[in-house]
Amino acid sequence: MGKIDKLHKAFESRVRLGIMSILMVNDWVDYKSLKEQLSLTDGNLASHINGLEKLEFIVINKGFIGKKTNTTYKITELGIQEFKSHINALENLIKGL
Amino acid sequence: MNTTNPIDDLKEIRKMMETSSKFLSLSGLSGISAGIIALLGSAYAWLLISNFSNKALHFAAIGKYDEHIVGLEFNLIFVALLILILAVGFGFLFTYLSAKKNNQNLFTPLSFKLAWSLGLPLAFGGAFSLILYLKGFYGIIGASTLLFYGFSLLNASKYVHPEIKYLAICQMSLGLLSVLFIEYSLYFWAFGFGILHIIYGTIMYFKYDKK
Repeated sequence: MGKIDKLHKAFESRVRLGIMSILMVNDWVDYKSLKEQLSLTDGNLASHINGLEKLEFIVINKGFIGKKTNTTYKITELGIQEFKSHINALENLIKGL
Repeated sequence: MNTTNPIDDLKEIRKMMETSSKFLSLSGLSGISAGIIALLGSAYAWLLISNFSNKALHFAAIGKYDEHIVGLEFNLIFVALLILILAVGFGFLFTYLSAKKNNQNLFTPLSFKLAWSLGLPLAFGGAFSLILYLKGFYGIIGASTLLFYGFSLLNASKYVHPEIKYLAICQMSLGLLSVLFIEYSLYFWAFGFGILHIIYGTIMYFKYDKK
């Protein structure tokens, strides 16, 4: 196995990679922006978000703007670490090709 | 949606990081149009001023100097406002068209952040320039607009193409020069808001818009 070990299973899906990439460079991103940015459907995005939250890679904040709910997401320290090591693993994999 | 290709993964990550954190629809044409408007406006201002200077003695002789200088001031302010409105208007129009072409939404939390980070220093600059005018420090108004415009661009640079930093530094430097060589203030202003915008806009247009 070797190099493949370091690739985190949580980031196998492109959607999760996308969510994490966006949260790496933005503070608190709202649901609608994520959805538009990744061109996804509701169900698809929600399940991946839940997955990432269970791993404690992201935190969720449910707020309100007026009467409308406004849910926003932020990456955690753990999420940043794991994502960085995932990217490093990807880079090492390419170097090894 | 599962993937095994690390190169594609990295490309996707890079793309997501860029498009989500930067407002990339800002069109080079916005810069070019703002530059042309500023150049035309400053040429007109120059005409007004030199026209006045030529007749200043005459106005003084017939005792209407004060009346005419108020007229000149009024015209110059009118020109300045017109430049501002036209430049912002055309800038917005070209950016709107570019966003539409790229299928990007113009009103996102990101564009509000951009507007805020650009607008806040600019508003203080505008207020400062207005105070300079009210207090009679006419000579350094041009410098103050150049300086504050540079600050605003620098402040907004994290949300747009990074090259805008160089434009910001040039504008701020021109701001300093136009105090140092205060008699050429209008030329520095025309160079900063006119020529530099056109150069910057052209470079950006060929680098990003054309693709």
